Amino acid sequence: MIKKTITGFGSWLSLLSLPFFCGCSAFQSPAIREKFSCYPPKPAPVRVIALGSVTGQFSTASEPSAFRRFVTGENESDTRSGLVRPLAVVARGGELLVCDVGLGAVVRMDPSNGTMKPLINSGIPNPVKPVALAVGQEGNVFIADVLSGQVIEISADGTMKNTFRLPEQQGKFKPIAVAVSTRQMYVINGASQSVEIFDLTTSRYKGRLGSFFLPVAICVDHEGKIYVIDMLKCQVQVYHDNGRLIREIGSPGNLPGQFARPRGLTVGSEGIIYITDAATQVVQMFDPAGNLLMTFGGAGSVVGELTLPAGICTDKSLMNLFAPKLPTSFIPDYLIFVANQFGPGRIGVYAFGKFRDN
Amino acid sequence: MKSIFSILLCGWIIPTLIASKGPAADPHRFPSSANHGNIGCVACHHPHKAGGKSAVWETQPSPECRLPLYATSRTQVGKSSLMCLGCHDGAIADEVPVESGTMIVSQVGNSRPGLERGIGYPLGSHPIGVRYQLHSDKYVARATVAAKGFLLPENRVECISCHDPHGTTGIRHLLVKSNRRSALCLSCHQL
Repeated sequence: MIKKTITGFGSWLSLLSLPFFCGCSAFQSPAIREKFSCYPPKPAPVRVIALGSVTGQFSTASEPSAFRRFVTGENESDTRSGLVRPLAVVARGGELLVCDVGLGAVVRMDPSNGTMKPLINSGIPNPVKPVALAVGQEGNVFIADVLSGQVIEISADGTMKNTFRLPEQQGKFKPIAVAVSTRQMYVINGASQSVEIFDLTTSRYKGRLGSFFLPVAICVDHEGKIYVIDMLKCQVQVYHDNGRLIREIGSPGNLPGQFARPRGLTVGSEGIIYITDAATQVVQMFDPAGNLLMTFGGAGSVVGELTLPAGICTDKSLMNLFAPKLPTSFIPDYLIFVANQFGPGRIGVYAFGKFRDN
Repeated sequence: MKSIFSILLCGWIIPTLIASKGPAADPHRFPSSANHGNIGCVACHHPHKAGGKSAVWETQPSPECRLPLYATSRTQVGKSSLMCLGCHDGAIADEVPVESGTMIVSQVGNSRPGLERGIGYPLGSHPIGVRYQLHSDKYVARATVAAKGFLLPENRVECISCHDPHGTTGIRHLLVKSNRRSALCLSCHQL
């Protein structure tokens, strides 16, 4: 039995009881900034508000017996609970799909009713070691299984639909990240530090994209452009779907606009590019032309701060659930979810938008 | 008893079984290129280059204000271990096992010392970020450990206490010292 908890839920409810938020000159109000973690810092208008974190918790109904504790050395507190080490998070139709390498599983989290379930139906072989996932247009989930050397496609009803393997003559296949467009799937192959392309319709291997030193994350925007993080070059490379390199974003370093250890990325609506950095533990936002817009997060354990951030996604389907937690004068465009590998809140939740009087 | 068994198992029996495979290539030797120089160093050594950008939506900080690297708090693992864990996540590099209950990384605030729990830990693992016990006859005196060259940053056992990321010793798994007959374990643990 699995159940889910929302860290900080109580504090969200208490925030709702503060009527003075309504209709005030919000982005300049010190009260707003005192009660919420707002980004960027004042006096700039607020664009991102931290809402807290979402995590999951497995039931502790089956505590280890005294005999088991004697044999294994476990004690009462050893029962594994909740997310352990999430690397990737993706939203799908009102739920979050989380790939957790600590649990060795992909789980579905439904913040609206408090449930957390395995993604894959019972009776179907689970991935050996899932490390990344992507959602296709029809809601199918593509899971990168690094140990079995394949990408597994799971249909929306939880059944296995397809598997993708690299032709033997192409060498070893170690999928560590995956992204899908309407027609193609792009997989980072950790064995050859390359991006492999598969045709989604025929499942056939189509070749490689670009040239990289250590690609670690990939995503595709609504126009079909492909974004790849090269961790060693400390860059994001943007490709046209015909394989042409369009742009390189970032350089090594820890100044604003630079990357020390870029780890995850996504592209929101309006083409805003979100990039997590495991070294500086921030999320940097860039416009489609590669200009730095702002930064949020930072290392720590209070609401809005991050601990070894990895995967990131944006979503509108959960807006109805989270919008009431925001100041009423804040107009959210969409939500941002960030997977923290450690720390008190594993999936950080943020809202992107603006105040009415901005 | 559990402690002794665990030390022997992890430090003597298993290493002896795998010793015949010989030393492995340095896994931290990343590629270099004519255009980018020894780019592999960037994985851990972050250059202090100029070239920060002004954020369009921000009025501060300035583009020359550096972001702290691997900032951590006393309740977590240390900065050096956080750097290791940033890549050793099971996808980019071999995973450092993290158990929410059987403290490997996450329950640093818990003061369970070293291998005292014995076989309760996953085989071959060791807690990271735990405080080195200064006043316990189960551990070698800290000054002695430090004199042997072992690193205990902020008096904690971190990844670099047992592993040299540069692999200068040439020992398998980048160990700072051979663990034959539990020699590495016994550098800190007293039977």
